[in-house]
Amino acid sequence: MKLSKDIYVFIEQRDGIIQNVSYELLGEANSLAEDIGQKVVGIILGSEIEVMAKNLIMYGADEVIVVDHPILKEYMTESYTKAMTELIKSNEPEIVLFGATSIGRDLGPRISARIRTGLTADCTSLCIDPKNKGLHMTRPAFGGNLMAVIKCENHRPQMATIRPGVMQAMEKDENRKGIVRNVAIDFSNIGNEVEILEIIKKNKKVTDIAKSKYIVGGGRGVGNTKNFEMLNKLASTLGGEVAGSRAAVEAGWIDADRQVGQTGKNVKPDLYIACGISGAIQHVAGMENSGMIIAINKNETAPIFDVADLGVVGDITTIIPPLIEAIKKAKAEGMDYIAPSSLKYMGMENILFNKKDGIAYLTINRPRFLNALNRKTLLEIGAVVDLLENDESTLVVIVRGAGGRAFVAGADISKMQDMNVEEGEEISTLAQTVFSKLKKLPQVVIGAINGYALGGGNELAMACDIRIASSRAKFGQPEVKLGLIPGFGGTQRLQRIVGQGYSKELIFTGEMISAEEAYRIGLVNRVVPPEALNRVVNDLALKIISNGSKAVKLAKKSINEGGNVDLESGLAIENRDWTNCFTNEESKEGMKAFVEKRKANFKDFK
Amino acid sequence: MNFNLTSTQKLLQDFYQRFAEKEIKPLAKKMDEEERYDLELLEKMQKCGFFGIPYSKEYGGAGADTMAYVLCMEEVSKVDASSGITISVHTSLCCSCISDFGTEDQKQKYLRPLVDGSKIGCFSLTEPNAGSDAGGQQTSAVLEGDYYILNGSKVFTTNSGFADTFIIFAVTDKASGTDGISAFIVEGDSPGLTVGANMPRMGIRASSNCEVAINNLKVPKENMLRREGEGFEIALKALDGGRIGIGAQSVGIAQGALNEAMQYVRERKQFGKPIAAFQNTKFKIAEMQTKIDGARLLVWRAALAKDDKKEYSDLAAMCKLFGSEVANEVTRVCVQLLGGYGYSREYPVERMMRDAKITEIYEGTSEVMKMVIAGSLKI
Amino acid sequence: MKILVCVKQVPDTSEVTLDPITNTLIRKGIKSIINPDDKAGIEAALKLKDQVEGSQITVISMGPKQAEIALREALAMGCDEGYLVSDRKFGGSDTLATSTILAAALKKIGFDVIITGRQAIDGDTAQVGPQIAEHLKIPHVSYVEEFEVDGDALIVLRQFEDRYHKIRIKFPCLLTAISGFGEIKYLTVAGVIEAEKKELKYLNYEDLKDLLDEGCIGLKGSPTKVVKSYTKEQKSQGTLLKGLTTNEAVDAIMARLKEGHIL
Repeated sequence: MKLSKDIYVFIEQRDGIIQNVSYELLGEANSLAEDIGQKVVGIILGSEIEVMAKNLIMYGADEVIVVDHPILKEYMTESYTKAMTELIKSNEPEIVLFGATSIGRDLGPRISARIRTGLTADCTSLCIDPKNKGLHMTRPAFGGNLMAVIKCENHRPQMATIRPGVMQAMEKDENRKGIVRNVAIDFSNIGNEVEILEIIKKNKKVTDIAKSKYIVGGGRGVGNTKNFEMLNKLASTLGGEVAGSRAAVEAGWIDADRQVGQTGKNVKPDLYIACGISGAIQHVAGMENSGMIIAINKNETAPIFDVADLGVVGDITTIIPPLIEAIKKAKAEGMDYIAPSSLKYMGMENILFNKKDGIAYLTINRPRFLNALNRKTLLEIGAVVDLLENDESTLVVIVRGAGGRAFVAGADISKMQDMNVEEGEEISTLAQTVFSKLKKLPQVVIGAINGYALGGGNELAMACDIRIASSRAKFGQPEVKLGLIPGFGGTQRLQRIVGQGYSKELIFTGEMISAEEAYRIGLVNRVVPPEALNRVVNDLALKIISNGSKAVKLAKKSINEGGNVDLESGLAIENRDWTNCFTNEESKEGMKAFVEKRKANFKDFK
Repeated sequence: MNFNLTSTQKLLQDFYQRFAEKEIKPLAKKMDEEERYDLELLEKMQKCGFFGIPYSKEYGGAGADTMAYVLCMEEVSKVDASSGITISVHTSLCCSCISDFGTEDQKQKYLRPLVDGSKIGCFSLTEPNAGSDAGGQQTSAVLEGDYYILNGSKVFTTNSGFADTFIIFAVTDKASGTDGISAFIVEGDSPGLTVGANMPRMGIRASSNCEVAINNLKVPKENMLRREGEGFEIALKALDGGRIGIGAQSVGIAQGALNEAMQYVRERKQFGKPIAAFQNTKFKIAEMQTKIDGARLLVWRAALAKDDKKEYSDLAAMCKLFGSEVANEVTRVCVQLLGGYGYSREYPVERMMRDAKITEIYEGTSEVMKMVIAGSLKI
Repeated sequence: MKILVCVKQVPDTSEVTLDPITNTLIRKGIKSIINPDDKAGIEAALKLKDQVEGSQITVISMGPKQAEIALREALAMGCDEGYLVSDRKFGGSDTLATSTILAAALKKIGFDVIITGRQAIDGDTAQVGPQIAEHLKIPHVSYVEEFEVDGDALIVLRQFEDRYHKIRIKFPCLLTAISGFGEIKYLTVAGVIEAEKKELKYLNYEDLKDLLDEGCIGLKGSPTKVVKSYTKEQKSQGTLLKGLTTNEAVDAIMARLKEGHIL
């Protein structure tokens, strides 16, 4: 048997633009590659597309195979099938991934029938079965009500189309290395049974709101026709349709055929933005099955918030105009996984660091090694922590791991096996110092734990103030299995978080626990679905930022210091910091606003 | 003995249901409030063949049977009882008179356009002073040469606002009581036939239901159904068939209301749980569904008897009597389950409750049904 | 012209609900329907029949005996004859095995053009159409929205997310049709009654065995296997943000739009 176990990713390009889903697949392929120990190969077909290969490497491809031929300029089933089939037959990859787009879903089945292997459509999650290294593919069925796990045991390659938007792309790393290989394919025997006569770029206008993918709905709270015009603009910017509640129809702001609810239409768009809609049961009945519901309403007790994925308490007339601008801008800029205003610190190999609007993101970026901590990574974290210590403009730090599999899977054991006593002591001292500094940062540190948090990873997580875990995350202190004990703070911090009983059980057995179990014993604050992790953490950061920054920092200080002393001394610390609050203008504004029944404006004091 | 529908019947039921959900349901509220039937909808139903279901292909009908017809009545009435009665009066009362009693010429001239979906029919029997006592007809018909001259007035004539063909009953021989009544086919645009204003009503408000004034209306002799004096028998026969349709309509109204209520109780939360989780709700729903199923089986029994050419007037009376009572009880309980929302016009159950009442009255009141049933039991 | 249409009977997934208390699928009482894209395929076939004189439409479904009603409906819509491909040996087939069996049946019946729906609402795979074309070694175009006959070929409009291709494809070929292919016309009562008289034929393994390798059908011939299935976790509680500045509110909403890949 051939030992090649490469993961092929079909890179979808249209007019020379790589589609987002391809970056996502490269990210996912990277985490899978770790488990089966082989490389990620991006396959790009097209005409004059070689320049794009470099980009693919920066996003996670180890190798890029380029088939450059005029016949491949526009997608056509036969030429693409031929190219892919020949590459697959000659290289025998283990896995082939496609985006579940109108191209991937046309190409995949044709290839699978030609080489007679299985194809699983529209997957939302992939993982490697630890027993036989086979691919387990999870996909929704039955209208999304049922999830099925599919395997393809006896045929190779294992192929899947992956739904766009569910996998995590890696952050762009300009220093990433990889090779580019040009392959020539002979297309001379392709006949003229099928030919493209014309390419029409257009979006057919949908007028039946029930068929629209995005709906902006307005209710009584919209107030007048002029404001409804604004909703219209938001809808057209998104490429969707505007709709209304019964109240809006009766007020004459919108036509009756755009009414959503019991007496109107039942809609199920991918996105429903409810503006100024209170959410009476009659309206909710018509839209609650929407893919994502965002509600904006002045009244925070409005029932619409019960069904909303995101509720924003606020005034639509101030929020929507800048939202329209932001959407336009995002659409114009296209794909960009790094916030445009972020500051990237160069010269770091193993971590990525950027900041935006008061939030700093510290990403451990060694997905191929499940983000394992080595000496260099620890030093780089330390350097960033030093920078943050005096950073007045940042209030929240989010710590996360790159790729979809691991937060940090532990210390880099391969580098440790040859260490002598002195070196062993040094690495522990280094890690303890860095983690303690992180814990003591004036800012709030949130750990976004997306996957394995083992050994040094769990210890890093415990050095964060708040831990939010994806349901895929796993926790543990497995050191005893290697004849070691936790050395980056594990024997001390774990007992302070979950108590000695659980702490001892975890450390003595070295076993991993699930995110749910970690939640049960109090190791993490919350468990959320994997795709929601970033958002939940961001929302949490936003909530914290909206408060007085001086108060938040003083509160952290008070809690931190009090944790190490007896209650009497702790209360004295609190008394000191409470008093301290009165020395700044922030508290004056906060209390004044409370008395005046308005929202405090803390911005000027940051 | 078999209670299962055939695959053709299932397919029809499914088709009626999809049509009703998509085409009729969205208009039901508006039509009720405007008290006007949507004529575009009428045309769509005609195109699908809803107005000629149990009539043979030979005359342009769908070539189906009474079972196929009652399935349609139930599905349509589930979302809108007015649509149900519009079909029913046309099919069971008007067309059946011509189909069962008409000459070949009459069938070709009048039945064909009615059942092939190009014309609408109605049935004028009831008069201001002749309701349950239909024998007390006062409209007169006098033969003058080749024409009968009709004079009188009719009330509660369903479909009259847009009907092309009327079946009108009139007295040709005053001395003979019910044996002196005759039936005529009358074209809607005949001079002397004046359709008055729509009668304001409690329920089935979308259906057309007008007073019809008859002044020196000239009807050609050949438009009489059968012979002089046979009209009353024709009317009774038509009404027997009509009652199966009303039974089916009643089942539809009840099932439609119950479906709405079931959806509501699953979604509505009070005291921290869906109200469907309360035993009172579950028991009420179980009782209602049981009664509806009972009523439906009575309807099917009557329809099958009619298709098998067996005696069915008592069976028709029973399905209408029981069905209409179930419709009234179920809609009332459903309004209660929806509480304040049930009483509001936002939800359709209040309309269904208003619509249900008429099923105990028209095409023979419940009291008349009991007379028919008792009569068949010979007590 | 011999037009073959493949249809699948599927549960109406738009009616599927979860029991709010046990969070399990309520399977009882869900209606079976002709898959919507396949219905669009039938409409396309009827349109093609109108354009080419002397055409005949044959509708085929693979499934258990209950799928007869789907074929009856197709006949009521105007198809001329129907075939039910059914055999215990076909059970457990994944898309590859299904397409292998259907391809054998289609070959046996004979065709000039094959029309399938793009995808079925129960599985949403969109695989069977292209796979049939590959087994039969004929070209296909999927996601077809409109078409017209052009001599020995069809000119079709192929939909992508961001564009259309106008494609000329020669017979014999296969198209996969998208819902919304013209207006779905209602049945007529007369059509349903008439369909009762049209012939339904049956094809089983014995009828097709010359064209089929037993190792390529049913559970044994299916490369993919279901390991397990479970109901999706219920929608988690949403987030409510208050007291945000306008910019923060916009950022929070934008983060969601990006996460949901709406942007």
